[in-house]
Amino acid sequence: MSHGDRHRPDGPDDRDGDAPVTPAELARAEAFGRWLDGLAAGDPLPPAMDSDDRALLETATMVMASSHAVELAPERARSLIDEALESAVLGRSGDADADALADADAETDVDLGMFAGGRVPARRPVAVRAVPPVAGAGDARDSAAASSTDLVTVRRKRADRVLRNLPWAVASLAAAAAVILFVTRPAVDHAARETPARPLRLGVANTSRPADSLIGIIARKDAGLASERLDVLFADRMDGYRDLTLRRALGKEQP
Amino acid sequence: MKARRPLVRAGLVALAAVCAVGGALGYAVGCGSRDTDGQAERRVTELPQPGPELSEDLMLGLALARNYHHKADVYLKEARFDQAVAALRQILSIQLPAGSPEAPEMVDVVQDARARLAKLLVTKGQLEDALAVVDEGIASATRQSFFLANLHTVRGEVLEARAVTIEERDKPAATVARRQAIEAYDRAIAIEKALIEQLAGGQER
Repeated sequence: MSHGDRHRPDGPDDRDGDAPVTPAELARAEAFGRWLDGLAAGDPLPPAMDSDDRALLETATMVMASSHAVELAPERARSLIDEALESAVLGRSGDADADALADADAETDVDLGMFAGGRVPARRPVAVRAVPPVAGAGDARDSAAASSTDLVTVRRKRADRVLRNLPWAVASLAAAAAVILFVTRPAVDHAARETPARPLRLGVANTSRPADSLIGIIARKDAGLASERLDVLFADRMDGYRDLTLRRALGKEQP
Repeated sequence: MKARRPLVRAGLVALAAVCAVGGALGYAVGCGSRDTDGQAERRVTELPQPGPELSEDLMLGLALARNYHHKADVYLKEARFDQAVAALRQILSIQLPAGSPEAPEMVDVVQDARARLAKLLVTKGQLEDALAVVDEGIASATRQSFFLANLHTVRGEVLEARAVTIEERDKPAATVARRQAIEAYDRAIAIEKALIEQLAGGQER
């Protein structure tokens, strides 16, 4: 829309460019400026408006939107930051980030639409993107809107993850400890585990000695009775040997 | 409450003193009883210091000799003379494992088996074999014992039997045999006397 498209009997095209501004033009410019300031401040458009003035206002709004950095609402900006932090902490998939970015774009479009007066024509690309967002994005926006609640959710999810991984961690630690203990176990000294052999106190009966004191003088008539003498000798020595063996087996020994 | 504290303290001190005195008395009595037991176990005729302890090898050797004797007894009851002699000769070849301490009673057992074997050979008229068995035992003896004395006694019997055997055809030789028999008996008596004196003096060899 150019200045020459307008067809006003009292428009600038009908006059010389150097002609002084008439009071009517000045009043009309002041009214247009008030509308534009109101739109920038978030005021709605007047219900009844000339189509040329409406087109002019939209054009001015687009020029303002393109020439100034778009600033999100503080609440929305905080929710987007929370979502980004949540994604970074919980490692959400790229889709979630894409959704968040799409939400941000949609929010931007909505903001632009607000600048356009809330009634953006469908023929404009801005209006196409200003179509109500998908339901998921809306839920995310709703959940992200409550920043403090999101922090609790993050903590709860973190706790859930810890609890879910806790058994595996404990089992892994136990297995590692078992392996370490098996590898570093001290060598078993079987010789040391056995009862230390205390020196036995040997009595005369426990020692090897001549049989003279036991058998005594051998009479001539008994010279050939070696078998009987051996029985006596064997019984005596077995007595001492059995005592020695039992004392050693029981480990009972006098100090 | 404060008045009771000195009493409690005095009671504890008295209890500690009683325990100390009792422990000392128990220790003294225990030591004394051990010494008394040690003297009670010691026989008059036994060595004052104990020798090597009875070993399993020694007990196995004694058991083996005992079984050979019993085996010979069974053979003799069946009048199987040669088998009985063979069983007794097995005793002479019993040897303890290398490295085992010398067992005096095993030496005694072997000498006694020689005596029995010699007497058995004498009863069958095998005087030379009997004399050889006895002489081998006497020659291998390393100490005086009643079993060595018994061997000398058996040697005297063998010589006495030889004298009787050769009396008719060789009277001088029979006379010599009788003198040798007497000498053997005298050696036996000398050994026995010495041992009896040693045992009476509390020394065992």
